[in-house]
Amino acid sequence: MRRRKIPAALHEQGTMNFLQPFLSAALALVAVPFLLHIFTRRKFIEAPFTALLFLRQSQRKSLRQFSLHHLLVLLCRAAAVAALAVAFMMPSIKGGRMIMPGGRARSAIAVVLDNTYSMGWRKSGVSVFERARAAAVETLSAAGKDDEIIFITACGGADQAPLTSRTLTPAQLAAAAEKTTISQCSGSLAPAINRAIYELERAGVPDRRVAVYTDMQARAFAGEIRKPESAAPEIMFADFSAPGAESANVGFASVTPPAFPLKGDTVPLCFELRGGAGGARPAVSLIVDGVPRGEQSVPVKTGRDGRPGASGCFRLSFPSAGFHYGYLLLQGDSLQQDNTYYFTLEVSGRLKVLLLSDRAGLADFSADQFYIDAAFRAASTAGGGSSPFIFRAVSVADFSAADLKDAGVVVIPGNTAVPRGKLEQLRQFVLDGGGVFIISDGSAIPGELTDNLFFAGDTVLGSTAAGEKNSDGARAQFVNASTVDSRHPAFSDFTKEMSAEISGTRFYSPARLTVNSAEVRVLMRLANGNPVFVERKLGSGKAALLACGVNPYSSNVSLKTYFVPLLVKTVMFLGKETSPGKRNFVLGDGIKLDFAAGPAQNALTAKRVGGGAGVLFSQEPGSGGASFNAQSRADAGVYRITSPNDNSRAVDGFAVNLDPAEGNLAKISMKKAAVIFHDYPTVSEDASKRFDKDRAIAWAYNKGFTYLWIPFALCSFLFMGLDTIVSNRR
Amino acid sequence: MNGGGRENMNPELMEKVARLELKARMVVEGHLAGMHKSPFRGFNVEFLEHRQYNQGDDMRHVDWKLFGKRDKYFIKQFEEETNLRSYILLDSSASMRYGSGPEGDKLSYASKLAACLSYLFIKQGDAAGLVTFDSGVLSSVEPRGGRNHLHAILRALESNTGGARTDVAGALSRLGEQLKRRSFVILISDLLVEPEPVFEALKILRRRHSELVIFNLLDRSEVDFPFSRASRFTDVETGAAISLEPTAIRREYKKNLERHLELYRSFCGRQTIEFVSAVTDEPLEKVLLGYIEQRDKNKRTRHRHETAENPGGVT
Repeated sequence: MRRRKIPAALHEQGTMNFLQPFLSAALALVAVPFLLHIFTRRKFIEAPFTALLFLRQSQRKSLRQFSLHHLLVLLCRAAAVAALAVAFMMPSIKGGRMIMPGGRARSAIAVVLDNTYSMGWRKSGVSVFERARAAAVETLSAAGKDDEIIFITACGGADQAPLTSRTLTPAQLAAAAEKTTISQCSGSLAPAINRAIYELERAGVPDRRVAVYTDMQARAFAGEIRKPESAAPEIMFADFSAPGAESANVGFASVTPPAFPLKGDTVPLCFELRGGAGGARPAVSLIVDGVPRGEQSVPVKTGRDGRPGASGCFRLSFPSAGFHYGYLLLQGDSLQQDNTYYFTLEVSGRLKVLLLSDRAGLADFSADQFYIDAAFRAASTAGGGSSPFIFRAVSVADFSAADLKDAGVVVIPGNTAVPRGKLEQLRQFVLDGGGVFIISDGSAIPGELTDNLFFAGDTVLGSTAAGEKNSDGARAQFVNASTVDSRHPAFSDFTKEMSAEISGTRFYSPARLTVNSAEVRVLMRLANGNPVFVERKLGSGKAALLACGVNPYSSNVSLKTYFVPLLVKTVMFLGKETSPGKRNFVLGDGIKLDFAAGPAQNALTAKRVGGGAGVLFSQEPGSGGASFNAQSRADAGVYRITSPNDNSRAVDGFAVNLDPAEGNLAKISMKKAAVIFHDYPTVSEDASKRFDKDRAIAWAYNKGFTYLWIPFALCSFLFMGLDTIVSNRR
Repeated sequence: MNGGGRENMNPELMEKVARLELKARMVVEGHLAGMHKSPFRGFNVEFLEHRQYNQGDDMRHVDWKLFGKRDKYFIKQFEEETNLRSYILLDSSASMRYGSGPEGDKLSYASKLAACLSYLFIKQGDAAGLVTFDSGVLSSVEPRGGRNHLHAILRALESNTGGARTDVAGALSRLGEQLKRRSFVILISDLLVEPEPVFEALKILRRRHSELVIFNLLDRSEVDFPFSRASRFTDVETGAAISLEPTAIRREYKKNLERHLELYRSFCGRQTIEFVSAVTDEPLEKVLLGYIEQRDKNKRTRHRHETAENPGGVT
């Protein structure tokens, strides 16, 4: 490995390389003369003769002479074979002073331009990228017509097709480079350099060089570097980084939006900055739905990790429920690309839950409503009053249509007789988008009413099934719960331990429930196989039925730890659509958003708010939602998913941000870079202040490069001639 | 001794002998016809000196012409009163049967050379003998003249199938012990032996005033050592083996061989022994006639020197 500056003397003597190193196997042929020598030297033929008198006299001397002679012949032949093999390996030397026979080689130069967004640092109105691009254009323009040129950018991906002189003239290549723009990608230079080396190895030119114009960010040197297949090209790293940028740069390290904002709540939105000069106070502005919502300056301090940074929080409230988007804007920094952080929020309204009961039941240990009321009261006050729902118990006698205004879910406990007229009002409530959770063993509300009003006749709620045979045929006092639909939102957050506890639930008098349609989703079954907990969509709303009371005389559900979470999750499920989880992504992430199944999802598309490059995402419809594959060429920003059936309505949205690591400027030293590229000779060029065009171009197109295969071939012939002369002298 | 008569010879051997004789005749007579004068004339009855008559000397040897001039009896002494007695020593060891080319082995080449020389001697009336040897004597034909004797030599050559290990010095020593008078000794061998014992034996022969000629025959592969693959070289005489890479030692081998031959050349030069190197892929005519011409040239040169020093020839 060599690590050095570009030599001032361009014709410095270099090391020898081979264009066809795989032919080095031919060097094994050197063994042939030795083998022939070994196997043929001792085969004597019989010859009668007379003058042995003279042979004896000269035998000893001649044997010594003979050995020397044979050794000389052997060496001549071995040297001839070796020189010929080396000639076929196409030896070449860099920077030879003499132009040897065989002619000057063409140069093959690959120009790799770093266009990751850290190159956007501006100084005196000119960005690092613009300076590097100008250098690349000048290098490409200086190519000769016989030279092989390759131009490739860092943010094209490993599969990008580089521009080469095979299809473009040097002028066209330079023009293409001139049009290159900075990308919002962050990433390694390794794929581009690997591709450049790959292309050079196939150029068929021994003089191979790679010129990398970069800001030498440590992040760009991550990734695996390929091993050279043949003669390793020399790599020049031209460092265009702006002096002082590393310490002056400040960018978003992270932003923490509120997880489940609720309408009317005041919630924090916190951010963390990294970098910045000591004593600086960068200003951060918050814009939500296009409206500035505040600005604050935060002082840069040294953090626990010894690195400078700053942090702060905005407090904001949302007067309306629904989808909101916004961004944080950082000011006072020369790298604009990482000064914006986008986010999306879905603000939920508070879910209004009604419990139909009678006054006596709320004070009766044997009534379902006693336990349900207690559970919801506990849940609604937990967490310091930030419960996502409002709970109220309503007497059946006092219940009217006015109570359903703004209501989300109505819970009808067992043992509560509800008149048919009021049940029909509740059916209309469901059809309009509301939710009804019926806990009934069929004793208080006739089963056919439940079946026909809320389950469209797809269920048959029979009489109480207490005392029915268990799965083992014996008449038992209870039936255990068996399986639950763990993918259903009511159970999806339960752990395995919680699910195991559910199986220990005892149902003493479950109603015999039969499901006749796939429209009805079974959430829980008993050990005898009968469903006991089901739900169905009805109109715009949903209905759920637990076919057994929750009082301790009907089951021990209310004594289980999952009782409260199950009630809350069930009403939350009945009250609204499931919201997607993660909404903020980093550019290049694979993005998967789950949506409720429906015919419209097949045509969902994602578009960037306010337009911009790379606005479309490919879509992979699935049964449980839709997945979007983020592409690296997409721009940072907020994307809204819209339905072509109803373009006026945004269904959902998500934000894509730049990788904050790229903006966190940290240079790598040339020494470390050389270690990473240890398989290659490397040179460095400090272009941070001034790019020495002449020196770099002279390095790129070294005119002193020479082939040496003809001298080696001549050497081979010379040895062959020597062998003939020596052989004939015998 | 392989000196059987014609009746003992089988037809195949007879044919070979006839071919050998024909070859020798073609080589030698072709040369004689071209020169009109044998370079070996006077080879056998060379006048040496006059000495005063002593009592008991054979009166047939008195030079009466000189008596008429000086009124004193002088006896004419000749270098050899009878025909020249020549011995051809033919190395027939296993190494001489070595041959890498189409021209055959060294022994075959040496046999032709010996046949030619024998024909030459007998043709001009001298006596020619043959001794084939390895570590011992394989066959021996006493020096005589006449056509029948030539055939005896030729038969001995043709029936010579070679022996085992070489002992050149031993062969020379044994011959030296047998020689009663000055002789003309021709050694035909590859000389792939340690030189010192050979030198000692040659010195003994030389002290007996014998005239010596050495024909050193080598195969082309022995000269150039052209082997290229790693080989296990087995000595054809001893069976000893050496494993080595020929290419690595070729230069050293050649250097050793040249040093070895140079030892012989320098020794022979000092001892006035004629030394002729030949490779078996060279034409026999070229080798033999080249030697004869060179010898004739040396003879005439030496004769001129002697004439200038002693014009009357009288000491």
